[in-house]
Amino acid sequence: MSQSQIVLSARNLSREIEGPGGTLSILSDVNFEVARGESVAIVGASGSGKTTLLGLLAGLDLPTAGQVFLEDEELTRLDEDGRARVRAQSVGFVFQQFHLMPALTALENVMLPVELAEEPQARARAQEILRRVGLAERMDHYPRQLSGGEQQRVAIARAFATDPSVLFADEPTGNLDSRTGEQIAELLFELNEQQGTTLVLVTHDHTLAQHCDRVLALEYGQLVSRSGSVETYAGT
Amino acid sequence: MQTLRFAIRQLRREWSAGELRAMSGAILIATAALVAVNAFSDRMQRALERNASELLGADIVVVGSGPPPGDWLARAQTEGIRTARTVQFPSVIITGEVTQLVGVKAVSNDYPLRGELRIADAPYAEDRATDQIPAPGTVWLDPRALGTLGLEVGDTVQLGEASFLISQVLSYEPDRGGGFITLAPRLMMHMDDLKTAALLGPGSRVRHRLLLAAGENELDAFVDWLRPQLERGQELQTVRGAQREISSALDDANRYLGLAALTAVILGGIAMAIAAHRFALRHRDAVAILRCLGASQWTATGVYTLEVLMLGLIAAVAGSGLGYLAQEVLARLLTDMVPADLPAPGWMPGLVGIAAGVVTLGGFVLPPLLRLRHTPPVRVLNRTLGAAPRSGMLSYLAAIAAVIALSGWIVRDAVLVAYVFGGVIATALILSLGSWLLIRLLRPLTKRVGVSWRFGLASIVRRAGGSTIQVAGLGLGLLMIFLLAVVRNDLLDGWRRTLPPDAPNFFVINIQPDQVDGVRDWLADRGLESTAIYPMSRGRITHINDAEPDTDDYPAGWARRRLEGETNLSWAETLPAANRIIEGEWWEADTNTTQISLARGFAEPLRLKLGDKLRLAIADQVFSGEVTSIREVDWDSFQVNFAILLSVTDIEQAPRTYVTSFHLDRSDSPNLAGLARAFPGIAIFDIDVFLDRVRDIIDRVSRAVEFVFLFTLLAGLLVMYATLQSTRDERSFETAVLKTLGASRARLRMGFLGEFATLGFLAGLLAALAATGIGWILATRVYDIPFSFSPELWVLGPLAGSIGVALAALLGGRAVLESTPLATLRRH
Ligand SMILES: Nc1ncnc2c1ncn2[C@@H]1O[C@H](COP(=O)(O)OP(=O)(O)O)[C@@H](O)[C@H]1O
Ligand SMILES: [Mg+2]
Repeated sequence: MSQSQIVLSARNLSREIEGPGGTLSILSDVNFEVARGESVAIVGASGSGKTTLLGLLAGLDLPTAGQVFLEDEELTRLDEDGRARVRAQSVGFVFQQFHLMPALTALENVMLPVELAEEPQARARAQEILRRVGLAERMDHYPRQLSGGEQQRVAIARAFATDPSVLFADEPTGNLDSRTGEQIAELLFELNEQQGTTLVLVTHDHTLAQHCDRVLALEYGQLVSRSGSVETYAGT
Repeated sequence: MQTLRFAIRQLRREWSAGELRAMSGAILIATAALVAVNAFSDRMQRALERNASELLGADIVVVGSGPPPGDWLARAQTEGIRTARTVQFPSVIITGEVTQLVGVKAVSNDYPLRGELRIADAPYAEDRATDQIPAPGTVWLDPRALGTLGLEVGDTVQLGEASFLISQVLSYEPDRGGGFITLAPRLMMHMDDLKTAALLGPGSRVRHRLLLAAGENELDAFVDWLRPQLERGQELQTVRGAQREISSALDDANRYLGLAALTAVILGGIAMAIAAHRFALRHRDAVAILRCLGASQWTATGVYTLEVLMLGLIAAVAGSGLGYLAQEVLARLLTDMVPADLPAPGWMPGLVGIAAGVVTLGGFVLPPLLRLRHTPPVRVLNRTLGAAPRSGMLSYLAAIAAVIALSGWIVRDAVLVAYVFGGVIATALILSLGSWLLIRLLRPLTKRVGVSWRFGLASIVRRAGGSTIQVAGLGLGLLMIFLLAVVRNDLLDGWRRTLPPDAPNFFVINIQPDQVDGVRDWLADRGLESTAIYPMSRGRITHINDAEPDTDDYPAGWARRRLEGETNLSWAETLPAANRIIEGEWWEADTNTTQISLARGFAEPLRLKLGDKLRLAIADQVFSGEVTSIREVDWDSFQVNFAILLSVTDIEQAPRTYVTSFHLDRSDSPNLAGLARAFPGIAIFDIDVFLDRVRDIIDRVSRAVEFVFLFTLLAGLLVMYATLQSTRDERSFETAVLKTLGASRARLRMGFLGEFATLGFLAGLLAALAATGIGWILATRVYDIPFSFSPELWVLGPLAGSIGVALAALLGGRAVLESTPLATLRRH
């Protein structure tokens, strides 16, 4: 894999929390790289540090040590606004709890990242992608008027609207029933394929993980080797 | 004990959450406003009581338009009653080219019988008590007059036909009376100089007072002897009566201050209710879990109730302290208008204020907290159960009733309280409706603006309920401030504007009949066009159709006072300008019967009609005549006007003076000193000086009221803060999501600013609208002057609203803007 194809890399990433009982290490010394177009699943028990890791990779939080590179930018050296700019240009994010803006309609929610990235034709693009996730009829509805599955579709449309190079998804099906979850997963992979996005997916769901090119396992804040059909990747 | 300790610990932990801050802020401000106003009026009241015996400078005073009969004085002397006399009238002093209207008080040797005069060697220098009165040939002058005339102690002034040495500055006289405000500065002189100065002619406007002081028994006997001899126009004044008069002037002032304080209390209550509601919402889960673990309803909620009550008590005590500071500011703002030596404030207003704060807290905060008890334990399994504690309006009714009752007790004016609460509630409803409408109008706008603004506007629209309360609460606070600005400037200016530019601005009164021709010539020689010189006197209606009117038949107040007291009257051959006959006919110029013409506003309350026969007592003369016409009088014309006009038939028998008015251009450097010198005894009123004095008084009073309204505005901001707090979680969540989507802080700040600037703008706009509306009602309905629209209010109002609120919100929103998104999102 040539260097230019590496779109995301974590180096010696650690995150510690100052708690009442002293310092608590949530992530320690995590190293890995993700190539452009690759899809990676991060699995692990609840509390193993998956959300923390994803947050650090997307620049939603800062590590106590280590570096994150995203599209050749060293996220960990940028300030809050710098990271916001990178997110606006290159990152999409899908949450387990959807996290739509309740004050905005589905369409306005999807337009939001396009406008924040100051890209043209926000409305047309948002309409187009909402149509692709099957919500052509519900564009002017507010989140509270939509079901869980529909809300997650809007969230996915919103994540893909800016054509991000990396899409992060934190247990995107975790709050949905299994039938709806499957549909959402399908949609996610479909869009990922169509747009050639790099996908970093946190999940409990083994079938979902199997869909990915690679599976990383976290245990007590550390990447561990995993037996099975999937190759484990640690360090460079 | 356990619970108490837990509550204290809890208090410290939750302080940062905001609701507790909003609640304690509201109690602080409400208590401070109440205590400030209450402590101030308490001080005034006690000053009044302490000086009660001094109010008259005597125990009893007989007032009349002529000197007391000699046998009264003789009788008093034999009974061992001390006596003194004063004579009061307006006049002018002349120094060089300058004249100054003064209220002259000529006093006899033993004056005052109660209390003491205070004098100083220079204006506003340290003063001292004295038992002297001005020696003959000298006068004592009010510091204000010395200031305006540029005079010092040791200078001389001309008064009437004589010159007087200014020997002292008069800083205090016990029986100044007339509330605490006098329009003309005081000049005090020795009674014996009255003749020398030849100031008084027959018919001059003079009040003679006979002051009496003695032990209670002697006085009672004397009063019993005196009372039957009193004639109409002579009045017996007691300390109690004087006290009542001054209290009623005080009550008027306190009424405005009370109004401001009550509004602050209401707004504070609203802020408390909003904060308490959210406080209860946030603690539902904890209560459900505690109950699940077996805690009783009281144990589960007692901690929170105790916590809030403790906090409320602390805040009320602090607010009470703040109130004491504020009342001192009030006293300073009103210097010159309140007695210089106000007693220190008592502790009662403070205690009452604390009680009021706690009652307000109980009324508005306890209902949602107590409902928290009913949180079902099963909520632990399903959070949708036992959803929002209903904010049941009914439970607040009790609170509102309690606050109203309490306010009524504090302000001691049930009508005012009803009026204020009614007014505030009605205005709040109108403001709410207005903001709701405006917020609806914003909705289509959200599609047309940039992403940051769109988000801000969308937030307002989505939280329409909360936004409405914010806008209405803030608008109410701003309204109070604007209203004062409108009332003060527009009404006063409006009144000034009604005067034609060449309206008479000088009035000359106390012209003796033998001076009339001279004054007319003097004015004509200087090209001053005098309107006319009118005879003038004061008379009382003693009989209506040959029967003495029974004053009890008339409503108390103006009508009764007119029958008991004297009214200005005049004689005329032709109908004066600014008068119009609406009933009957004006008399022939050469009529030889005595005919009477009445102003409509005078005739109606006294139920006088055409054909009524009136008997009038003018000094010691009696005049009878028939009412042959009713006039409509334009009182605003600033011409000399009279309620009662008589045909000139037997004018020569009537004691009278003359009055005239003229317009003098100020640039003409008026030499009215010459007029005053040429005609001793006349008094010259400069209307502009008078208006300036009135304006000065209004300015000071409204500054004091404004100061109290500051609390109202703060309470309005607290409503804003409380509603802001109630959406804080939502807001920080939205900010985190926006950051995740790549929004920079500058962007977020813009959205934030957009939202709050818009809220402030709406509040300012509504407040300007309401202030204009109320100003219009006051102008046209109450004061009857043309309404003047002030455009600057419409610019400044919304501008001040949006800038103020946006800045406040930015300060409050900083923490949200700076935190990392992941930490925030985890909490949701
Ligand atoms: N702000 C925080 N304060 C304290 N502990 C935290 C914080 N954030 C995460 N943790 C702890 O870090 C660990 C990893 O959390 P998380 O990344 O959410 O795990 P996962 O997503 O795999 O369930 C957990 O034990 C969690 O309790
Ligand atoms: Mg997680």
